[in-house]
Amino acid sequence: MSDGDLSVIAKNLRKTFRRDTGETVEALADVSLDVRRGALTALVGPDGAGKTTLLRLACGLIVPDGGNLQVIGVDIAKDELSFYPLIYWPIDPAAPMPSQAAIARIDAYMQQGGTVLFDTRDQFSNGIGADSTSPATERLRDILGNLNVPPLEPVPSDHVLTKSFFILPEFPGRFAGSPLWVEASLEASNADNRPVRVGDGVSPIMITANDFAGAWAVDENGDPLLPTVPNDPMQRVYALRAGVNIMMYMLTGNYKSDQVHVPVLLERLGQ
Amino acid sequence: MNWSISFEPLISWPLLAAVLVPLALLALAGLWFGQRGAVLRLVALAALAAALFNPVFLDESREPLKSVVALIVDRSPSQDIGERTRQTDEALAGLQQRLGRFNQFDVRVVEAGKPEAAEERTETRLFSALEGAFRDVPPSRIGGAIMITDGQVHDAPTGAPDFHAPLHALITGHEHEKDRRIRFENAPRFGLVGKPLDMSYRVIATGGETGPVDVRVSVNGQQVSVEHAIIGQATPLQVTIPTAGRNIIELAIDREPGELTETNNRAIALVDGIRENLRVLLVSGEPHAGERTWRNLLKSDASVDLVHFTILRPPEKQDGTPINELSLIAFPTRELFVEKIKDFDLIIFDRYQHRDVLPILYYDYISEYVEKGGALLIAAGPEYAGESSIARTPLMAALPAMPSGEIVEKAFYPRLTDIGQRHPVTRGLDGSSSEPPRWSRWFRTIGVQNPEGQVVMKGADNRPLLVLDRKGEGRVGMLLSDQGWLWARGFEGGGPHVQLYRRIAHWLMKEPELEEERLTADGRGMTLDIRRQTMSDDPGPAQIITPSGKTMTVKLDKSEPGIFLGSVQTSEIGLYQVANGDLTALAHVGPINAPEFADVVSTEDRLKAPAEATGGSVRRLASPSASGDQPGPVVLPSIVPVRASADAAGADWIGLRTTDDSVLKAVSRVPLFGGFLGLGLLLLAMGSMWYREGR
Repeated sequence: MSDGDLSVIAKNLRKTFRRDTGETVEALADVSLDVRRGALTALVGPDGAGKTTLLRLACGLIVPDGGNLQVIGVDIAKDELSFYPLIYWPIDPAAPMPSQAAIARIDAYMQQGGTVLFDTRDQFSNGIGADSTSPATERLRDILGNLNVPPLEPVPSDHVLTKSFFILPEFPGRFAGSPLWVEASLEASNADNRPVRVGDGVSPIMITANDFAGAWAVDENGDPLLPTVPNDPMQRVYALRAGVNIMMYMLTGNYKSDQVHVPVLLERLGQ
Repeated sequence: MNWSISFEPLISWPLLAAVLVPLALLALAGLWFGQRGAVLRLVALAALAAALFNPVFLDESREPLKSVVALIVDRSPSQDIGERTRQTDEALAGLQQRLGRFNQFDVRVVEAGKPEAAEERTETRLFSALEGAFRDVPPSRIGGAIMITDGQVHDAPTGAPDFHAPLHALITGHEHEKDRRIRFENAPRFGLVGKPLDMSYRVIATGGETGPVDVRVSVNGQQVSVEHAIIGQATPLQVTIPTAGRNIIELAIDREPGELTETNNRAIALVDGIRENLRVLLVSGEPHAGERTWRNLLKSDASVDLVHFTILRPPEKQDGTPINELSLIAFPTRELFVEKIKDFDLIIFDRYQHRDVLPILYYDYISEYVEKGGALLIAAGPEYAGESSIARTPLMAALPAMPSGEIVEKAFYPRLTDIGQRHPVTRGLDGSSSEPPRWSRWFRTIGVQNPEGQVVMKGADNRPLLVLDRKGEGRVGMLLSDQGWLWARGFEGGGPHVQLYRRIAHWLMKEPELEEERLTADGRGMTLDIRRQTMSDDPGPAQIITPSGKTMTVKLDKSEPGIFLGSVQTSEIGLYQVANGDLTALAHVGPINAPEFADVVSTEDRLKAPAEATGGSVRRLASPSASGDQPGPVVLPSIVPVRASADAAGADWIGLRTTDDSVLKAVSRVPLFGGFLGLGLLLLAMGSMWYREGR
């Protein structure tokens, strides 16, 4: 059975809760299991065996204290990718490196108007030195090495992403400070001299290290699962707004940027 | 007869010398000392030498070769003018008769310049005919060439031609020919519909004629104005392009008495009318996966100005975010749907549902806009089947199909209906010819009841997928699935979404090319091609009115669903009117402003330089008659065979080179001292010598 047939892979999961009373409960101790795609897998056990905890972990609602859990949302090697306007790809250096064929599918997806958002989630685990890179960044480099990656730039202040729904100067997640990298826009400072582009100019790739999903994750009560770094309540709001803006950018493209021209167009009507 | 003597020694020269030289010395010594018989000895020696040298008498029988002379006869249409054909035939017959008297000339007659029926640009190309005539002849045997032409040769070199024998030209017509012609100086190929187009033209006349002349200007067969032009001056002209697609602009001047031809009194320019700035209003009900597909298509269409609005946040949804942190734009509904609505060429509702954004009254305005000639496209999604469907607003008056409330979510291949096979919007859609079609499946069909108009595509369970309808003067389209974007994203190989969407949009905006019923005609050389686009099974034959007013009928044959073609060979140049049913079309057949018809006045000038460079001459066949407007009788120069180095033209004669080449037929060979004659002579000399010495 190859990993491609699995939808959940858990290795040596551990999770301990601290009750309000102060006592600690070990819900999961060294649990490993594989769930096959399409298979009906039953989780059987007495009350308090950790069934709920496992499912919560699988849903990303809570994070394990130890071990490794992978829930495969989209299998880039097998699933039809063209349905997705955006693929959010948190880089996990522990996950197996995708096959060449899978990378080629991602490449084709990007060529046909899809966008991949890579999240290395390592804004603060990078070393200080210029050469130091986290394992997640190295993995990202390995992946990008096989893709047709256009020239990138941090989102400029006049980019559509900064105004596709909310006005947003930056794109924090659980961490703040990492720029969001997008395809470098061509010299378009002069509106009369707009470059002609084959596509619609929507970036096929976005890269961040801010761990968006970490900031969005909430439990069943809607309470956040992970603290933001730095611990600023507005940062989570901005992280959600960043998500909305990214999604709006995916669905409406550069709609917002040509709203600048609408008054002129309306002016011209009827002449 | 060629006689010659050659020596063919029986033994090699050194041996011959070794034998004869000592003998000769002995004979000479004998002569010196006055010995008896010395003279005879010398004679005997000579006879021996002659026998050994073996002289041979050769008699060659040769036949001289003929020089090849080409008569290049210009049969181009400009040679049909006036008396030129008669002159040409007369000159040709006369020359053939005269050349027939010289058996040293091999005469080839080449008729050149006759236009092909499908040739677009008619030209007189005599020099290529000349080259072709002598392709198999060695240069030393070319005797010369005589061209019988009006002098309007379009491939004449400016200097010496690559021809090394006298080239003579006999020019038809006469010196005092008169002609007026008109031509476009500047005629753009494209023009914006409804806008004046700047053009310019010039009236040219022979003989330094000046003065004003009236020019009739017609657009698509309708005379629009009469302009006053000064002969010889470039005159500006402004023409308003009436329709999109091809327009025929025609300039015509009256025939002058004594003018050579009327053909070049007309000039034609074909101008493609282009519609500028089609204004499209795209209203997306909510951000969705297919929104960028419509948007990108319309944005990339150079002829479309897109005004796009997306309902990013409905007004009832408030989450307390300060307004200055939101990047939302007010939807200027009043401006769009009340004040400016008539300026839009197409309004697209892309998955739009009724919200409080748009007052109910505005849907009335949209219905009215369609009725009065506007265009509306509904790209329906699940919301069309729902509670707040726009079919539940006054817009329903404009809609071709009411929702049934069903949303069928199953995979299907979008397919063309029988009508769709013929409809210009869907006909020949890339991939539609195979089964299943070579494009991806979609997964959602919005159910409708009793669609009006034409259902050109069908979805799951053969439900209508694309409905096209006319309301009043306007048009409405309805695409009953929101999954066209799957084609754009390359799902299962994608599909022809660009082609389909673009054709839907442009059909709605009344693009002439996409009309269901359409008749077009085109001239291709002298062939008139007729194309009928129709939804019917048989449009019947087409009636044609020729430029001279004759009528004829052409059968139209089906070439593919919805397309019928016919073509006819014509002989007249000019505008043809084609009619089929209620439809009419106009086409120009024949060369448009072709060099052949531009300048038809006979001239010596074009051929002077090349002819004189070869030692030949250019002269007219006839001088003008007494009245001056007709050529006099044809006067042919006499033909004189000349040597290669001599002059090849005089006042009343033209020279053609004769060749020195001949062909060897036979050689007879008689050895003089061979056989019994030689033996007898030798024995006689020896005998006499012996007898003399014996005395």
